[in-house]
Amino acid sequence: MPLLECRSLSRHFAGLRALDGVDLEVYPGEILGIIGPNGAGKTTLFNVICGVLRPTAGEVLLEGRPIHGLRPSQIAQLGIGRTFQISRVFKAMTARENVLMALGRGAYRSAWAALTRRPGPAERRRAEELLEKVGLLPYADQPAGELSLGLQRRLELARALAPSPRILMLDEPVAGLTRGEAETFIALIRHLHREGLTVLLIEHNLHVTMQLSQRLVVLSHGRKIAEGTPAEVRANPAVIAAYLGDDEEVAG
Amino acid sequence: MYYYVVVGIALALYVTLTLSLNIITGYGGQPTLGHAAFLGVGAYTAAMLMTRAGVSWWLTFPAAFLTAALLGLVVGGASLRVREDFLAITTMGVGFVVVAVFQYTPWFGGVMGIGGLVPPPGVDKVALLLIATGLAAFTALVSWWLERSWAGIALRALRDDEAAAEAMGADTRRFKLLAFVIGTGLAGLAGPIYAVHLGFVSGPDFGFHFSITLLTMAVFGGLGTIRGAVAGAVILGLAPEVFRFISDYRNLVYGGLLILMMLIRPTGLLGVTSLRLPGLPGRKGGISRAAP
Amino acid sequence: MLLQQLVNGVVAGGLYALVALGLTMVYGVLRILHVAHAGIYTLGAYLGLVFYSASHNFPLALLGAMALGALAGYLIQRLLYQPLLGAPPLVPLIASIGLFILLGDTYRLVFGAQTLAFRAGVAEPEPYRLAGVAITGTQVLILAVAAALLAVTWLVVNRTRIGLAWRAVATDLEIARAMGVDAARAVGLNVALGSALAAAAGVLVAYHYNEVFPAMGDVPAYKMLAIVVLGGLGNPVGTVAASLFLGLAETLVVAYAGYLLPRDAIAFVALIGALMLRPQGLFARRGT
Ligand SMILES: Nc1ncnc2c1ncn2[C@@H]1O[C@H](COP(=O)(O)OP(=O)(O)O)[C@@H](O)[C@H]1O
Ligand SMILES: [Mg+2]
Repeated sequence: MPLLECRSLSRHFAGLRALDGVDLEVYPGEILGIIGPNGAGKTTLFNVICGVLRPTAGEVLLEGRPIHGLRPSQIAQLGIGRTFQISRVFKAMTARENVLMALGRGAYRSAWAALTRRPGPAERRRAEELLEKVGLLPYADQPAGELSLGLQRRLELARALAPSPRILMLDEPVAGLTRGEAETFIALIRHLHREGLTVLLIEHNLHVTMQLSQRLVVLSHGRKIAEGTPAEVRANPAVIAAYLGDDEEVAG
Repeated sequence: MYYYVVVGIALALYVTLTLSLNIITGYGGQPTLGHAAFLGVGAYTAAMLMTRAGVSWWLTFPAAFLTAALLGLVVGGASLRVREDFLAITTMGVGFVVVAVFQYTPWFGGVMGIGGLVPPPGVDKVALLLIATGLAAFTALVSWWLERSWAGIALRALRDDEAAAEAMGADTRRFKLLAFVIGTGLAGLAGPIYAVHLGFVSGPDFGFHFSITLLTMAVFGGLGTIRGAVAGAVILGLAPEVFRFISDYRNLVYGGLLILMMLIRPTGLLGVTSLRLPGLPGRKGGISRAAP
Repeated sequence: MLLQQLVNGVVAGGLYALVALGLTMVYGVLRILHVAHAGIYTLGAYLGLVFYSASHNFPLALLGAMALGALAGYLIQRLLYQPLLGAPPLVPLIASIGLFILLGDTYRLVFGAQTLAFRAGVAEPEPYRLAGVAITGTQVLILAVAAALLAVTWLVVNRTRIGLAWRAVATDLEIARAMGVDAARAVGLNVALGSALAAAAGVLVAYHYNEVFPAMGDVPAYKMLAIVVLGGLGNPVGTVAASLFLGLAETLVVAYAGYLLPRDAIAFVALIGALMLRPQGLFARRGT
């Protein structure tokens, strides 16, 4: 049974079909890559799954239970962790506090618990472990807003991992990074995957996605135009056309 | 001696109010331009219960907390619908409407307000000073606890970025409401003290000018910290006394001080750095919201 | 009776529109709630008084006050707002409130705390009567000047290069810069024009009620904020509509249900009600 499933998922913006009847399954333990030219609807798909946007039609199921219509915080409580395409660390908080904040997920379920409980030594230790894991320990006490983009990305990763999510969703995690930073990040995701994490990865860059994913879903103009292993997708003429069309638009 | 006691009571009330405002605006990042109205609701609750129902002054405290927090819940509800500048204006509007209701409803004493409010026997000005100081200390303690709790961390996170806080599993609606209820409830608790200290309550006293004074105190001292709120309340609370010799220029000095503070040190004297960092989630367009 | 109230309401709404329009324009390009705008309004009233008592020429007094009001607005954005660009919204808001307090006190120190008569010794002429409706000469004057200024502003915003630059800056600064817009100059001119409108409103109100006093900007300061929010912050057409709506609503509510609410609270009741229904303002465009 798939861990996460989208059934004919659609989201329209005033006539624009950003998502148009997309079917998708994510199986436990895999890295599923979602690729597609700019404006294909990848971020919209993420936002619908995470509850930031309501679907116009269709459903999202987590282990068979419908989750569309829930608030983003409720979906996060169910174990879906995410990063954002444009870095959204808590700028005024230190790196350590950013991770600590994410560790409060259990307490945030009720106002009373959040009010009466506070982070203890266990959470502080866990925050250090996570910072260590992404290589941010040396920067633990710097305000997150002052970190470089590459470090902010890793901080977002640590933050998303903090409450041990069942699925990690990454939106273009290496866009804007230097080659070295990107390599580090990719190695990190590989490592997490070997530890059993399920990952849903959006990446505009074909090279990166092909390298990381076992399976790919290709979106174009809100529709799923192909699905399969990297090799299958690479050979698919529809995919090549979609990307070429995009390049022509960019060049023209 | 009496003079110092009276000034002391005023300062303790300012500290309480500024700290309570800091919970909403400093920790939670929600602008409030009508905070004095919640003091007013607390004070009127005490005044009404004492004069109309003969309730003991002591028992009006919980009632003042509840009525103020209830209105706070309503305004907090507005903060779920509107944001930033819209919310600032909404809170200002709520302040105006509350004052207008007090002033124009005969039941609340109308323009005359409610007078003849005296503390129970045995509570003289010195005792009142002790009680007011106790309330200020209690408010500081609540703030201190809140800052360190998971709720406080969630509030600071949502002040930075609401969408990211949601993605971490914190229901931003819940925590905003919590900040409003606690902050306004504490402001309401100052009401009974205020009422018997002055001996009367009158709608316009809780108007926009008082609200701005409180916001200014919090910002001047530094939003988001206890020490900042206390410092702002004490320094600006004492300023009218200290500047008495130039009392004709008081507003001039006050306004000038605000401008200079914003130009030179917008984080306040002792505030956190978050006010300094540009690029808080803003809208596209307009040159002030784009990082220079 | 109703017709009379409608006329009074439109006059009040026209005055609101003059002040609120400048405020909403400033918000559009600067994203600052420019509370001190009402200080310019008061400045306009005092300047108008000074010029009028010196020359006894009303058009001259109006234009003089508008010119100096524009200069004052320009200086405020140059010296106060430009340095605060990029700060969180609360910072310029508090600076603006500080400036408003400072301006009010300055007027008091310079001109005295007492209320001054604008047209000393000149009595208001008999109103014109038309189908049972009394319209005073001042009301006609206000309507004419307000309509003319609003029309000129509309033309500037919609039919000139600088208006285009404002709209570009308001929509997306980066794109505006890429298009070659000199943002600093555009903003300066924008605030100057908005301030000229506020100063004109100050002169008209001072002339109408025949009084000028330091705190005359207090109520407008808050009420204008309510109006621009009702009009969908930064939306000029919505702001004019909201101004007229409020002018009429106030006049009618006071005339027919005066005991319910004080005139100056109506703006906020309308505002709160409207915001709860439409969080982006009554006249906001969708998706903004
Ligand atoms: N909030 C929104 N309102 C209107 N249109 C939107 C919104 N979000 C995305 N879109 C449009 O939907 C389409 C898909 O966008 P997006 O999901 O961001 O694409 P991708 O992430 O694949 O680049 C684009 O045409 C985009 O302009
Ligand atoms: Mg995207």
